[in-house]
Amino acid sequence: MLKSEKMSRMTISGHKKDLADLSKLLNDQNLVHVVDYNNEDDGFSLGKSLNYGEKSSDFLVKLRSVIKLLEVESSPPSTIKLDSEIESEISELDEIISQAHDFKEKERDCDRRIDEVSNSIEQLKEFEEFNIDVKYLSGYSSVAVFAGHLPSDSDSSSLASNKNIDFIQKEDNVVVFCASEISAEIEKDLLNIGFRSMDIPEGEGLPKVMLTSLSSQLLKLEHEKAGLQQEIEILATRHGDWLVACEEHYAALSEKSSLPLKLATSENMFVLDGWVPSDSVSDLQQSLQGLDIYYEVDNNSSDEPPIKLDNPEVAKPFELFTKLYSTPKHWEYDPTMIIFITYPLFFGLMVGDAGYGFAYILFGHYILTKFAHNEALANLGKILRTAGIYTFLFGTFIYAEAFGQSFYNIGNTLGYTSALFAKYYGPSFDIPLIEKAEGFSWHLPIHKFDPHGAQLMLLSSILIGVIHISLGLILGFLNEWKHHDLKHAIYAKLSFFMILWGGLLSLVSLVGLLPESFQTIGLVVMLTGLGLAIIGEGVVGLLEFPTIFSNVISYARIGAIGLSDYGLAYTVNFISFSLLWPSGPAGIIAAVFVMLIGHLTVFTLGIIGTGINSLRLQYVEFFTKFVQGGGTLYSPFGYIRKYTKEKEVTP
Amino acid sequence: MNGKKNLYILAAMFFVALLTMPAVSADEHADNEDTVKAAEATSKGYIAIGAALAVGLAGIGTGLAQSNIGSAAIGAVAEDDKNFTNGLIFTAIPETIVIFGLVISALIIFVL
Repeated sequence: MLKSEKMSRMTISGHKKDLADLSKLLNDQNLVHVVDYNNEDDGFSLGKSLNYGEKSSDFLVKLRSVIKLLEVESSPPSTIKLDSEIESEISELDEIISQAHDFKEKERDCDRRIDEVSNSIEQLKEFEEFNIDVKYLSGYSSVAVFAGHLPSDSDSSSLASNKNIDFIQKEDNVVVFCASEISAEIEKDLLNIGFRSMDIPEGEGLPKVMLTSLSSQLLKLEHEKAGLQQEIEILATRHGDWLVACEEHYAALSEKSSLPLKLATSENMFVLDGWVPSDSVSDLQQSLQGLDIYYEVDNNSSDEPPIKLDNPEVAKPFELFTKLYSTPKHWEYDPTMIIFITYPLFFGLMVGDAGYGFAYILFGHYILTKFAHNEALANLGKILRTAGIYTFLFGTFIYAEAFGQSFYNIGNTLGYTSALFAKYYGPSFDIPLIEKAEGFSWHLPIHKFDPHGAQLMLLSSILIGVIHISLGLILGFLNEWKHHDLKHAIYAKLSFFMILWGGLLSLVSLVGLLPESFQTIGLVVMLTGLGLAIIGEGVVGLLEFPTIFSNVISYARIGAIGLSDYGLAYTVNFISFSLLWPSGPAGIIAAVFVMLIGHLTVFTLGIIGTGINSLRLQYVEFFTKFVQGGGTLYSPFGYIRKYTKEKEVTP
Repeated sequence: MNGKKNLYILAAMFFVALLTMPAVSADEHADNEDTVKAAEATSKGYIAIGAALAVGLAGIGTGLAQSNIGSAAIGAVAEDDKNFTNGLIFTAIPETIVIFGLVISALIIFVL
């Protein structure tokens, strides 16, 4: 939890001939994080990939190109293939590739012809009204032909009455025949009345007749293209899973063969420098016994180890957010566990609606099952599901509402007003600061439509902010203390902690919740903190002084987004039930439509807006207090197969 | 240019709305119940306008700042996915402005 796993440094050396065995062993163990050799020592150079590497990469290139060509999407693994099966079947690959290329080539050819035909159709359409065989429109030596478009308001009477030319006009289009000698003059006249020339189509026959034949040709070509696309699709479905499995097998082989590329090698020897989780060292030692190699383990290396985040299974998906920010250094606290608690908490507080919460649980679960083979998406699904559970719980017990309708209102309509459907339930409690009306006492649920509820939401958001930021500052203090010294920690973190709490103390006593003397105490604490910050960080400390308060105020978004999400959902319900529903059957249809679109919008906004805002609070307000990051993520050598498996070698 | 013109029209409409609000002086006929009621209603209206202005103008400010940062961030992410987090953080920075506006408007409504 909170700390990354302890790593031990391991160096392995041996004869090059054993590299293939070592690579297989390390690949199967999937434990050693190999540090790339930087090629800086005399007498050592980077190794060359193992003998089967080149062949695997060749297959890999071919496989990836055909997967792209056929647009194969990887689906969850259904059957696991053995590597020996793949190796015996791979000879069929060339056949599939040539088929795929063949179909694609034909498709491209089809596309080209479709383009040509549709261009001709476009051209001919302009001449559709003319009763002239197309072959007479071109190919003269002493006659010039102009064909083009004339604006409908242009005055063409003088040209039409010119005896030396043939002037044929159909609607806005004209064709003009004239002797070559006078063509320049005629062209000028035409341009003067706004003539725009068009390309003269080629071919033979009346435009109308040609159009009919071209259209049927186009239809035939499109049919042909659809057929080809279907063929490609069939090819992709028939071989898709096999191709994905092959791709994985050869990617795994290719990675396995690349081990020497990371090592320092001399003429006969190799040296591997890597890291192993300290807990797994003995396992690895045991399996290394069979090999003729020499290794050393250093449990207290002063170098920076790679980071293997160590969190319980339920919190693992949230490592995604930590990694997205930056991998923490080995001496830093890993914030994953805290995000695991606070991210869904903020999300739940913001949306706080049983209906949407349930929808998020279902949607998260859907993503998880649909994209189980894609780790990042599956993790997002799990995160959304957890957030949905919090949303559902808050929505049911704290806010008592579903899809923007409070249970109380729903209960009133249904005639059921006890338990959760009552206006208030549970014991009463007291909230300072918020003015309450005569005879009013606080009970659950918190109604968002009630000004008191809104005030309480904003106030508690700020309180959550103070706690969250204080936690960040405490972790930051411990980080600094461990990495630098106590003095640094006091200047950089304790100072701001004092500013925050000093300011808070005087504010709380200012509004009368604490004795008046706390105003001075708070002020002194705050100014001492400010002094420490200025000593430690100079002018920067002075400049950063207000940011700690703006950070706290920033948490007001938890309440604000909660209120606005509720407002949106409420409006949707109001429009559909109160405005549209009573106005007859058409109104009911419109109401259902508005309700679907509206709630879908709020649902999506919940994921985008609320999800991002909850994350933003973590990144901007919380992480900046203690996470610097920049560590290297632990990625052990070895390929984890999903679609294939290596045959067990029985000893 | 069009945007600026729209802004002027909006501002003009706003001031017209302000001027047409029934301004009532309560000093002479303080005993007149209707006048007092009207004065209360007017002051409530002004409070609402103030609160709306606080959050609305802060929102415009945030929008202006985020539009530039957001487009730059999208550009950076398009170039390299690793910039996503930094892009998100930079885009989120001016968001605090609108929260300030919101807090002030909440204070206006709840305290005044």
